[in-house]
Amino acid sequence: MSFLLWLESTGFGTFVRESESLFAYPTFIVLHTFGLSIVVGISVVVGTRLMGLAPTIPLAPLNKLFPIMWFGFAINLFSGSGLAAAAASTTIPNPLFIAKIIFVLTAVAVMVVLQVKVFRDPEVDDKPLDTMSKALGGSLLALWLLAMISGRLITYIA
Amino acid sequence: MDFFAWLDWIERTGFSTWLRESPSLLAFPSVIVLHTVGLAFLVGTNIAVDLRILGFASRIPLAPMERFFPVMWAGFWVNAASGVALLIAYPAKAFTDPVFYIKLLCIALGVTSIRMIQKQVFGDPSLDARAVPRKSKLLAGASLFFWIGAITAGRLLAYTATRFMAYD
Repeated sequence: MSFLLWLESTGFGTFVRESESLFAYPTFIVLHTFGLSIVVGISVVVGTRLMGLAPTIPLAPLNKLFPIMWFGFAINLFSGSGLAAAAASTTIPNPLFIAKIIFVLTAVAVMVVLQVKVFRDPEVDDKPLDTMSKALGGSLLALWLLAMISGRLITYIA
Repeated sequence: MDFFAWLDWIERTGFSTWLRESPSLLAFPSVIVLHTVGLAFLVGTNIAVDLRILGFASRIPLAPMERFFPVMWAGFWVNAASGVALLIAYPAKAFTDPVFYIKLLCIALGVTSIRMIQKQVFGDPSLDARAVPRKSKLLAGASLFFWIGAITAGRLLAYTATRFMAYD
């Protein structure tokens, strides 16, 4: 607990929480929403393609969308750290926050596996897509959905 | 009936009161969650299509990306419905905030840009046979700009509102 109180009292945490400026808390919230739309939106494209929507799109060039997804994730890692630091002692122990972090980390693991095992495979478009890859695509969407639901509810369940 | 009396009337309806005051997670929090999920599907998928038109990942054929438009429109309708519910919950809060009108304008322009992209860019049968025309890239850039504007204005509404109820 003392660590969480310390985190709140850091310059970063205090600025995000207490500054009257629209550049403090509101900007972190806006950035978090941008990052979300980038990561989840690109995941929708990649995930639905793996599950069979738009099968005429070759899989290999979708690998180029991953850096955009990682960019969105970096925005949310930064903005999320600010939001969590600002209210560390109340947010971090909240079971919904912990659930959200688990969903996010699992989704990130799925993204890494998809990128390395599926999209970087030079023969990915020469063979039918295996069930595992389709399941991973579906899991990615489900995990982001759960992360958004739990994340957005943190405000309402303290 | 003047404007504030009308907003007050909305606030007193059963649906508005339930959304605002019910302790159930199915009330206000669910509407907010739906609005966030719809945003991710609408704006996120649109970002992917816009970036491809602008030249990112140019080895992805554009024509089959048309399949993602129904996903965008599904996100749009989820957000139109959840947005109307949020408006019914706090009508005075939105209608007295100039930022709300900026958000609506951005959405109107964003929706128009998506429709124009769907018709003009994806309606072209020679789409993948030649380079993306400059006009298509301008449309995609404008679309990104309007949706970024809509998200920024929309998310700031929580902080720019000065009045919460019609008669506070």
